[in-house]
Amino acid sequence: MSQITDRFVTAFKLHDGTHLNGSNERLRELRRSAIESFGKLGLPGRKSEAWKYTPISRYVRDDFAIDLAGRGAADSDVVDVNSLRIPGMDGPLLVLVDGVFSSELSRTDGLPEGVVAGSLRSALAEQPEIAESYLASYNDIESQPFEALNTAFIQDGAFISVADRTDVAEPLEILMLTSAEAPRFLQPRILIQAGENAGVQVVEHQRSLGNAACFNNSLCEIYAARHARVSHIRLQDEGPNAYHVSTTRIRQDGESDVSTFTATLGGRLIRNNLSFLPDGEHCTSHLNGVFVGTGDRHIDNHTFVDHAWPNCESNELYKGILDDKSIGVFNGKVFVRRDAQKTNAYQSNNSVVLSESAKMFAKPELEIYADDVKCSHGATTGQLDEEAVFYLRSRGIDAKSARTMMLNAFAGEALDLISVVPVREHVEALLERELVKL
Amino acid sequence: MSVSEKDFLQEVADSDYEYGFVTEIDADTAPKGLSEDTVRLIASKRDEPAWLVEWRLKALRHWEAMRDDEAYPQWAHLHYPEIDFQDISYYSAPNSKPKYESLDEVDPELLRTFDRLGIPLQEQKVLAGVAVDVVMDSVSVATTFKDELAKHGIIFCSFGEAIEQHPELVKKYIGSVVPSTDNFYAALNSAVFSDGSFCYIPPGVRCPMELSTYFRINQAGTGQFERTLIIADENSYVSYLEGCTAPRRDEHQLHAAVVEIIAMEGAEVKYSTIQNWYPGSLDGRGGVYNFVTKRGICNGRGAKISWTQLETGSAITWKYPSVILKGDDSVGEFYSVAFTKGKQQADTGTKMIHLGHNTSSTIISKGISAGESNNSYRGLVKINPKARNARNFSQCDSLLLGDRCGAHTFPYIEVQNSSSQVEHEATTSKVGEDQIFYCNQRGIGEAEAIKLIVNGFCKEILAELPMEFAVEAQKLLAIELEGSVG
Repeated sequence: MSQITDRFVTAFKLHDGTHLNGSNERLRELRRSAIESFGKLGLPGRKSEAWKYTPISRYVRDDFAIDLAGRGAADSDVVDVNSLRIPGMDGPLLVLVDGVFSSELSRTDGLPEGVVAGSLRSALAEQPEIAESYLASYNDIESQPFEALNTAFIQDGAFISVADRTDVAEPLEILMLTSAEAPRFLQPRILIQAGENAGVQVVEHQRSLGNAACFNNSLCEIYAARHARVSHIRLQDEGPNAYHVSTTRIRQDGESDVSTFTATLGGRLIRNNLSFLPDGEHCTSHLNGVFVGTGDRHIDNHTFVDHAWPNCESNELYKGILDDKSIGVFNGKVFVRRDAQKTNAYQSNNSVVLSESAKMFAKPELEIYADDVKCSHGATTGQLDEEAVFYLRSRGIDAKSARTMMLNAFAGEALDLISVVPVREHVEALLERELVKL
Repeated sequence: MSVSEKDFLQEVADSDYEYGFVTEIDADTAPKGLSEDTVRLIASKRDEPAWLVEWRLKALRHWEAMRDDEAYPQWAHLHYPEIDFQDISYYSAPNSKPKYESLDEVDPELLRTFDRLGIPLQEQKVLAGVAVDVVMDSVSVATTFKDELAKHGIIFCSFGEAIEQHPELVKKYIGSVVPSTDNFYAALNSAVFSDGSFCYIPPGVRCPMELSTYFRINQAGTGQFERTLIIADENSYVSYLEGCTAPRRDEHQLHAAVVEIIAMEGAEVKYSTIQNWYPGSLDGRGGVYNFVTKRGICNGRGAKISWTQLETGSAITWKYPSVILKGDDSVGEFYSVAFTKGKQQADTGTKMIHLGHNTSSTIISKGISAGESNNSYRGLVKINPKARNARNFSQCDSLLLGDRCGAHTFPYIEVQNSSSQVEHEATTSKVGEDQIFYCNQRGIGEAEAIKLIVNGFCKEILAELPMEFAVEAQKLLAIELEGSVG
């Protein structure tokens, strides 16, 4: 067992039953099997295929404090939350400060009946059936070390539950703040559950307040019942010292429609693991994203769609722009099981490499065991079309504006897929901000 | 799926290996097992020079270390029982050893084998103008057209002869593209390789004929470990054909070949393969394990290496013909059709390593799976930081015939500069019912229609094969598909 692994296991033993509460029998069991599994797995090593281009153990440093007592919501009231929100978003807000839900900073009034939005800790204490039927029910703690680690250390986070036939008109914003001033290892968790015919849009907004090197290992679970419509947008806009492994696990019942959008425009090291299980017929899944690398940012998007049922559809589009010494990684896997006939899966990844020292590693995978399917993927890596830039310049547009215009158009194809207008506009603004650096 | 289509696919999946027969020729076979003694035995049988024996032993030590670490390549999408490397005999040579001047002296049994395979060895001389260096098990027994080639200064001979007659060339280039420590199976081959082909084209020479070698595993329980070395000197051209069929066997036969190609400035090498080793019985018993390391290097400006392969045989195929594009403006190509049926498993593809400026590569891969087979494309396109203006286009299409098979794509794309362009696309589908309906309407039966469609699917690749080979390839594909449908 490596030193780092050992630190986590020791911390777990120290806090099991105290900070890691054991009020819920199922949660206690879950934690124990998760830490046991993590102890066996350890952090992914250099030979791990899934981490081939992201040597993660190099980034999990010894000086990250595993402080489970943490700071609570009480001293976080100094934060001016409104200035941190996405402009134009003034609906319901859930604030997590260092993984802990802050009821003072959050605003959940005015939500329709049947919608619960708040602290995951309280939800698990007050509604144990949530833990019974949803929590970690579509996780892979046996083989994914970061999922095992997060599950072992579940303390708090955000919880959203939408009752059957309930439509939440306004998008909910989850502000995931990292405030620590010294290096810390944090493990926020989000659980979203939408009932039959329910509709909900969630925006997960990751930001850092301080400049300390902090490592977040966050996990978001989404469960969509029959005919549910769920949209999840993740906006990653953390500071230059933020390390973040962000896992999203989504299970859909039949006829549901779940879409995700991942916009990465900040941070030092970002790894997104996104897994979809359409667990019934006629599901639709969307996986879209943009990522922009400047400085020495390292962005890794791993997506996986597990088509186990017939007649499902999945669409995927990721666009990347890489400059300076940034590194982009895209690994998209579409898995079609034997019985998943009539699957329609499409995947596309386009990247633009702007500098001689930037790198892009793409691995679009198809693994198909059913014959009556339509599956395709495309991946391109290139640069801006110089002829198009010349065309613009010949019309009096300066080189920089021409390039920015081209890059905006390039990313635009993906950005148009963001369904919440203020978020789309904000991402466009952030893109401008990043492009100015180019 | 209509009943007749299903029946047809069933028949395709069930059709027997047409070339399953054994030629009984006395053979000189080494006892089973692998050790330093085995390597020394192989070397002494061939009177090899000391440096080569040392080279082999170094490879053996590396291989043994890897074996002890259990460093077998396990990343491929293949499932097979562990291979007992001590249960294999590593050398076998046909007994009728002397080199023949005329075909009359050749063992008639051997000639009959070739007749049954449809290789008109004698007619070929006259009609096809193909020089055939026939490898029967491990020692070359007939080399033709040597005189004609010698006129142009071309060396085309067995590896053994090359070691005797051109040691300086062999010593310079052996292991220069595929080092003996490259991977598990390359190390094994380097330690125990028995024979193979050697080819040298002098500067400015365009080889007047297609060079061809038929490989054939024939001895029960012996693996074959050929080594091929092709050196195309400046501004030369050669087209090299490799084709193989193997007789029916119940135990697995291990095949671990190494092919090295060196293309100097302005040279072009076209390497074509038809691989039709015994794929095993329908329930997955027997069949050849084919672990091959093929790699070429474009060593100078404007060099070109092109791999074309039709893979229909073997129980296990593990094969990634690659090109290192070192010279500026060099070109690499990979065209492949892989057909699997029964319980066959293929994990094949290519690596294109771009090092020089303005290098370009093209990858077109077509996979067809039937029965309960699994067919994977695995490829790497790597653009090094210094490979300015590199260009790659990859296309991988898979066709599924039946609902028990699998088709997979695992491409790795690594781009490390801002002036290169890489495109990759892949599709997976089945034979469209509308396509079959269209054929039916015009009086073409289901079976014929599927043949037609599959042929069309592969046409792009088959067209890359030299003419004689293309005909054989089409025939082979038709036989594979046809089964007993008459």
